[in-house]
Amino acid sequence: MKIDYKKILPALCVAGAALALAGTFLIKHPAGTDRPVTRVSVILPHNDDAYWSLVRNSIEEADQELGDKYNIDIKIFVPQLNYNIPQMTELLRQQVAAKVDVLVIQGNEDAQFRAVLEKAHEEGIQIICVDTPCQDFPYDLYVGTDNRAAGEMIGRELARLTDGQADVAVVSGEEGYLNLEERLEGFRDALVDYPGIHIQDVCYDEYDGLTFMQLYHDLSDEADALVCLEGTGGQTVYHTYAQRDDTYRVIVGFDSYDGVRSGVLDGVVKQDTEQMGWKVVEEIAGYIENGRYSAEEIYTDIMWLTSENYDEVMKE
Amino acid sequence: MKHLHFLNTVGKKYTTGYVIMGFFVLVFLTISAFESFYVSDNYSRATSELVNVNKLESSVNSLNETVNMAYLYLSSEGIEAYDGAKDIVEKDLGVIRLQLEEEYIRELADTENTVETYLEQSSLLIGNLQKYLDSDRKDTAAYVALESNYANVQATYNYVNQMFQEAYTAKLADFSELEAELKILHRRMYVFQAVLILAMVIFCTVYLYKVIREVSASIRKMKKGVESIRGNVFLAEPIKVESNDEFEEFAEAFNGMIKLIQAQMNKIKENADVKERLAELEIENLRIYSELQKSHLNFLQSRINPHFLFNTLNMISSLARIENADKCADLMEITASFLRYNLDNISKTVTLEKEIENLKDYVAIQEYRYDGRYQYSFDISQECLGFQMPCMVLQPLVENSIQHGIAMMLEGGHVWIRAYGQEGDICLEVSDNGVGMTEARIQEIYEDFEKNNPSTTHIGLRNIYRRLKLFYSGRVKFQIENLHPGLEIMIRIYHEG
Repeated sequence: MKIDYKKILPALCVAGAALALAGTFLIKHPAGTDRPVTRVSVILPHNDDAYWSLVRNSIEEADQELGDKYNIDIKIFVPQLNYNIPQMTELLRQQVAAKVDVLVIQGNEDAQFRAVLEKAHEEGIQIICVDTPCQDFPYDLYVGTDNRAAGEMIGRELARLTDGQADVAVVSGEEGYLNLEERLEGFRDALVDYPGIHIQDVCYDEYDGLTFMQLYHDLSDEADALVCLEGTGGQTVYHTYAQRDDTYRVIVGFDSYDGVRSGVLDGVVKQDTEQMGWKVVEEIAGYIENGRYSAEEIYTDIMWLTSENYDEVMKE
Repeated sequence: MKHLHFLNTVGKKYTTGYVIMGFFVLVFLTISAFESFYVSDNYSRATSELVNVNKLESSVNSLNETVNMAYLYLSSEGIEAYDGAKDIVEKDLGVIRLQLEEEYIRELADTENTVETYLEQSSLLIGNLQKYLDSDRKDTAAYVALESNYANVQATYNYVNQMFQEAYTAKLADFSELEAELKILHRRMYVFQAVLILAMVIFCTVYLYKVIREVSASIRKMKKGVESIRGNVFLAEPIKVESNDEFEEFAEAFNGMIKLIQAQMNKIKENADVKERLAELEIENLRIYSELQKSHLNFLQSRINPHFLFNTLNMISSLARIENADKCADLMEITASFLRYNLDNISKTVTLEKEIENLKDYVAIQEYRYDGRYQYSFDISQECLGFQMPCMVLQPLVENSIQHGIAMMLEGGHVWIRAYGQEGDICLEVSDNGVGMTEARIQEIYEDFEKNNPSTTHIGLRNIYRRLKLFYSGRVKFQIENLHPGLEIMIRIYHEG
């Protein structure tokens, strides 16, 4: 057998080049981007399993999708205690000291919280309110539900469920939260058309299940319909009762999907939490790209969720 | 099969093999060195980054001590030390900024910015404190503001410490991630190096195996070629080596040498054959010459004083004329002429015309002898009369026809003598209508022509044949043919050239 050197040597060269190339590929090269890093700190009020956790998930998903492209670095903070304003204020202060580029917060009217927020605004930090805006505060962007429309929706649905005759107890989260106040206003506006429905009392559970349950029982003496204007109430009822409780004729609320599915709740306003998280990140990316947000207020979708339309709505 | 032109020696082929091996080893060593450099560089960088963070933390702590000293104890030393400590922090901060440019880590970026905030707040505090201390009237509002400043500074200092913890945690996580990456790299490198070594072993083994096999095949072919010439150089097979190296050149040279040897051997053989033929011819010539000498001697012995005989015959002829015996006188004169021809031309070349005249003398004598019982016919072509030939060629043939052919016939015996040209050749024919000859006899005559020791009969015919063959250098054909009746002897002398 003769040696075909003309074949051997090119093959050797190709093999050598391939080996050298393979060798260089074994070394991991860091990916680079031309854009400067945009440090985003998201301070969520709590990490429950039905609402804020979904907002958090959608923010993280959007970060996965857009983070590398726009060089966005998102860090999410949650206070140890749910809706603990001092803890959230402390987190906020810490992030302001760290001079982050964007702060994503749920708006609240706490004076100290607002003072830190104002300082952040003065230092040029972009402030995005999610779910709840800050009243009379020059935030840069609001992404969330049109809470007045949501309150109107729950009012209309309650009237439908009670045939316009009910004594209603309203449990909200915490006084002074603009979103909750707007919902309440929307709810009241909706009931104007239903004189048979009377609001007996408006109470605040401080986003605490124990407080809510205490109110749940106390209010049953004067009301046959219960309206939970935030998610904690509905979730607490669902976790407390395996099936429908007869304390109230009608129970409606916000965002407690399992409560609706199990029949414990008659219906809830489903806020599009996924849209919220995605919109926040998309708008930050848009700001990096164009130097502005697409609007000052971006309303996300709301839907009325019942056991009848559960599969259909959740599929969407 | 084509070969690379530059791989035209065994040495180059082996060298190429070792270069290939060296190439693999070089790749192996380069990759290993690169990996080692990469690993140590990463470890070194990670360690150095941690050290830098630690330095910053230490310098911030030192700075905060000066702040505390200045604020809590209104120490002027504290205020003075502040600037120096701040410079150190800023310097360390610069290192961290460079580090962040190389590799961004959120926790470290937050720490760096928080330290910046701390520097701003502490600078404000120290500035305000200096103003407060420098003022003559200690203002309560300024004091409250200082308190607020200090609270802010310490709150930020707490954040800084928290940030450092987070930065350490992130760096350590990064470190352990790096470690995991390097482990994966190590594993990949082991696999890669194993593949590289395997590839080198396979490639070099195959390549060197082919080279060795080619060299070995070339040597085998050459050995076979050398062995093939041991018995007989003419049976040697050419060595076919196409290895594009010295073996191919050697084989070509060897084949050329064999061809040269074969050519030389052929020449030697041809020369030997020629010499052998020449020797045979020499021997034959010597033999013929010897026979001629012998024949000549015999002839001379038969010429017992021929001149005396010739003079005697002339004298008898004259006497016969005197005594009116004319026939006898004529016979004597013819006999004298015949003898004269014999005496004068025995060793000379004569023309055919002379030979025919002499033959006619002989025929005339025979007519006297047999009293006209036999007839003789001459048919001689004019163009042949000048043909040169040895003497006494035709006479013995005619004598042979008379004695062995027609001698026994009482009448009707006839001898024909013909000479004519044919295709440039000369044909001499003597035929008779006598008793002829058996084929066996004719064959025996032919065989006697070529023998050195012939039978004692037909010496005349054999002498004529030998003399003609010698005279015409073999360009003679002697043909004896039965005519039924009679016998024909035809001598054909081929045209020269």
